Amino acid sequence: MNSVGELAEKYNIHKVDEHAARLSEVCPVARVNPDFSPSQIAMLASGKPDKLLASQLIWECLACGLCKITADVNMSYFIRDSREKASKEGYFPTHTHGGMFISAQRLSTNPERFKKSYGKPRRNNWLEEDLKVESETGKYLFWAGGASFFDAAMPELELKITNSARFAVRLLNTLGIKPVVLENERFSGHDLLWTGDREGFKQLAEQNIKAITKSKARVVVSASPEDYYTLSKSYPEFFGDLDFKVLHITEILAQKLDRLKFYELKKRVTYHDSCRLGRGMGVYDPPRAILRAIPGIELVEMPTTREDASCCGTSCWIQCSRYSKMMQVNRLREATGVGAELLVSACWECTIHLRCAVNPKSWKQVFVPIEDLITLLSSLLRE
Amino acid sequence: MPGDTSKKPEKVTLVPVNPSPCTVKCPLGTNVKAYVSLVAAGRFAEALEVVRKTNPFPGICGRICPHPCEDECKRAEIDGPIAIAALKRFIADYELRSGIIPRAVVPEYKRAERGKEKVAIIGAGPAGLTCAADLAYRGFGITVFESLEAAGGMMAFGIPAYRLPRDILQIEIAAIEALGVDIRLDTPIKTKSAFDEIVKEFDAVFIATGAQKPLHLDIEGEDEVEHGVIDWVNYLQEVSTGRGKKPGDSVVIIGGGNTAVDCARVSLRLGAKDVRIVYRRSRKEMPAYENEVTEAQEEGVRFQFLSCPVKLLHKDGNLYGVECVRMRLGEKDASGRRKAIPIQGSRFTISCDAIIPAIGQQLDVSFGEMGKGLDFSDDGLLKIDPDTMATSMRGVFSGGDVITGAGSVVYAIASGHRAAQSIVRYIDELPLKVPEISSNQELELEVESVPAERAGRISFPILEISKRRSSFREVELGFTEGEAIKEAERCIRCGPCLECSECVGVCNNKQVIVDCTDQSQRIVRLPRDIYRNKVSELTYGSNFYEPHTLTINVNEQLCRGCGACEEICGYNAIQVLYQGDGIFTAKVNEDACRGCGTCVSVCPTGAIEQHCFSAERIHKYIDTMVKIRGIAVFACRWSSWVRSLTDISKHEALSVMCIGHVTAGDMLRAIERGARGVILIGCDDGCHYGFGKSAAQHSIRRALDTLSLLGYIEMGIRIIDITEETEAGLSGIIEQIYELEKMKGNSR
Repeated sequence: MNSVGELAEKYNIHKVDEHAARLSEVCPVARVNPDFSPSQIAMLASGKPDKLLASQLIWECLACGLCKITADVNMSYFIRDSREKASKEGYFPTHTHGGMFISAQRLSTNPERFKKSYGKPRRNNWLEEDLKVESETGKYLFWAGGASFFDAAMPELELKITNSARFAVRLLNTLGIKPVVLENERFSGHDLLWTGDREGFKQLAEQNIKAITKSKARVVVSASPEDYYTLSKSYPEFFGDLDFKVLHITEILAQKLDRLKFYELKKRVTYHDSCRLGRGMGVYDPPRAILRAIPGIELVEMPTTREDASCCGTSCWIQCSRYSKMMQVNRLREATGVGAELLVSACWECTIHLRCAVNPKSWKQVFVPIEDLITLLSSLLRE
Repeated sequence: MPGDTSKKPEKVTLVPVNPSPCTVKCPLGTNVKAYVSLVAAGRFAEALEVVRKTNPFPGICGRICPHPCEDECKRAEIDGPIAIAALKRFIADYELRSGIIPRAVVPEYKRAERGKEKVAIIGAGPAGLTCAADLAYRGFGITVFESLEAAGGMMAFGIPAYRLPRDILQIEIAAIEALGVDIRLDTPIKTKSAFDEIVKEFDAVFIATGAQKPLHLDIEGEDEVEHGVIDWVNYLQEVSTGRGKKPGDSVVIIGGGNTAVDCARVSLRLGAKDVRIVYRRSRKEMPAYENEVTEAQEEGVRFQFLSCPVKLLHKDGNLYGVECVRMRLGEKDASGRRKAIPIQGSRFTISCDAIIPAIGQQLDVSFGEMGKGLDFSDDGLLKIDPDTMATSMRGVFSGGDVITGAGSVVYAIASGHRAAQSIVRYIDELPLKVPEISSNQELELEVESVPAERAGRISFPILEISKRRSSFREVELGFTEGEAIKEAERCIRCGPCLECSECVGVCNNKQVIVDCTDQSQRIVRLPRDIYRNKVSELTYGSNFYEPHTLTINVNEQLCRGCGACEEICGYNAIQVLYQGDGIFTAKVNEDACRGCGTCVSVCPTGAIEQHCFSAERIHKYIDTMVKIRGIAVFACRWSSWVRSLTDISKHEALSVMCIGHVTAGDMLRAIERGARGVILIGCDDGCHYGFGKSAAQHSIRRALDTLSLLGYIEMGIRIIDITEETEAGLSGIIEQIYELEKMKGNSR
């Protein structure tokens, strides 16, 4: 395993110094958290690697990828690999939601453990009978991701992310696609990989790859950018080339917009780029194209957009804090600043995080309704 | 892994606790909340120990204390204050009835090694005896000089037996004597030479001679009357020793205090036919206790309010009446009472053959003789430094009525404690003044009333009237056991914890230690490790300390101000407040927080922690226990100690303040680490916190929902109601589940 110094070299961390001023200006965390800056990470990485592993810095970084865009520093991967080293040494982040998500993901690495208590997973309970799905094999596969877990773990936020998953399948059906939905789908492993548990990630990935291969799917469609990123980038990174292609649902929908008809929506709408979908996968235009296809919508851009877009404030269900809230509030201020009446995101996590910031209990400092793209489309779709 | 705050520094700050209002108001700082709660739990002996830590006279104060604590009681905002004094009386009486010989001080109270320093105490009243007990317990040789034939001072000679039975008094004084205090009766120190000899012979002297002389009326005719003006001090003294004689057939008592009412009721009992109290203000302004006045009225004492004597009428030196003038009430004066103003031309006469002016006390003149060389204040009282109780003479201290004029027993006890502390410092050659450490003694507690069922204060039974007038039997009969528990249960327990010290015995990891520091006699509640390092620095403090063991700590960096905690807290103890600059943060009101930790279970970011039950500690427990037993058990510590289910330790259950504290994340963590089940043992509707069970159910719901999505069904996450099956014992319950899980064939 590489040392922190080797990792720093591998991921161009030395370049942070050259662009220190610019980086601390764009870094979403450094802008709100006075104790955090990319140059501090770089300094510790070269001088005191032990101190870096023991510090909060590596957990506070969002791995949003802005460093890569701004200064060609692959900070995200440096952070990802440093976290693995840190957790091996017994340093851990503060887990948001009491570590429920991480525990749930670990539990799904080996469901055979409790033989008698183990039954049919109910994660796909949202699949309604009128949805057309293949039972075992098919060309397309819909990746449901953690939709049902979000709803179960945070009932108080009334997220209804499963609705979004349901509508995604319905949209695919409208396009004539009858996808496979895996009964034994596991978490993609994104959160485990990015919080330093590479073993857990590999266990999940292996089982998922096996299941997808068995379904004979050629195209895996995901509605969650994190899973999309993990399946298309991290799985090949660790397991070599795969015999299936991964697409985000917006990419498929954007290709076949002529087959979708929407009702009018007279609103100024802005689109929030998620880190994994935008900077991670370079998917900027398909969601915008879909929004433009809705009659009446005036699409406006926020001050930071596309590859410069600000992060939604948290990732991997760790280290959510007052700074996350500040980032979210700043993002919503950007939206209200350009007069947006609706903020649309194509990412479930971003939707959850931004909504948490305008939850009525959080005092409506800035209020702009936040909608998940799929849910918005389903309400406007002319059958 | 999760959780894990291994890199977070273990930071513990010592802060003074905000004690509950009743404790703050008590001149002795008695831990009222603790003993009331222990009474509610039926643990009367422990309750009495709590009282004795600050008060050597629980049985006496339970009867005659003016109970300033009850004036501050927050329960009054719901339906009426807790009968705190009566509960104290109950536990003292309960001990007597059980035939236990009272001990003056609780055993944990450490006794320091001392030399043979001798301290003289002049006056065996409440101040002198308290000081004697405190010093004797610390190993000093104590001699108490008492001029009268019995010890007790005004408690023995100023308060009639129907209010304070003499056996109670004698028992509590005997407990002090048992500490080795030498009380010399009939030994008045009246002359300068006798006093000087004492000063020479002893290392320190405490003067607590009281104020033994009644104030004069100072009206026309007073000096000429030879028979009929009664000295109330003498009068009550004689009554107390059984030599009391009827002062006359019709007796007029002047004054509105407890002494006036006492004199009146005593006169009735001695056979006076017409007893009348003349008071210049109205009944509302009377300083005497409400119940005393009512009882006096029931017994037949008549009241002449808004009247003031101006002239005594006499013939041949014999009194035959008193001329009074009617008064009206004007503006409030400095004491906060409305000033009484004479009405011109409203004189009237009351015929009587005896008058008892009970309008106050002053120092005995003979004291002046002895006290040459001591400074006196302008109003004729002994002058002292109020912080140290030191007089102008080196090594001589004073307390009680001799410095205040006339005060309640409880204030005399307080001054006795303070003097004892100074005397120890004087002999140890330390600066007399105790370094004051800032404390939150301001009474600004915004305690929200818990949704308590309205249940008014229980009134205790009173001796029937026919038996009262003819005897000196005690009038107020005190609570029965059931009544006491019921009354104590009304306490809404303001503040962070009950400070009852029960945690010490329950805490398996010996995390908590409770001790009385030698000097302050206050409870210091600290985790053991800090105790060792820090307590020596605090020894001379007289404040309460605790390092956030129970109250909630908000990590402001992690808090995103979502308000989930505010919503779940049943005590309004946590509120999300605007911090400026778009930031909202949860703030804990430690006065209202009761440390249940339910907010911990709803906090999404892990910003809320309870020091004693930190996420780190809980996680460590889960990881260890799952490995050893394959099951994680959390038990409510209230129900476990209240119900004496001490076998919790055998099963290594983690006792939490409330099962509502356990988060869904904790449960999933246990299952993830290989547990076959998670068991929460708590109370049902009788929960100490009221909403712990519903919070726990909410967390369980979330954990089970998540597990079922993964395919883990029928996992053993459940709540055991502690009241259900106490007969099987806790171990029985756990064993059952253990077997059940085994039968299902779950293996790790």
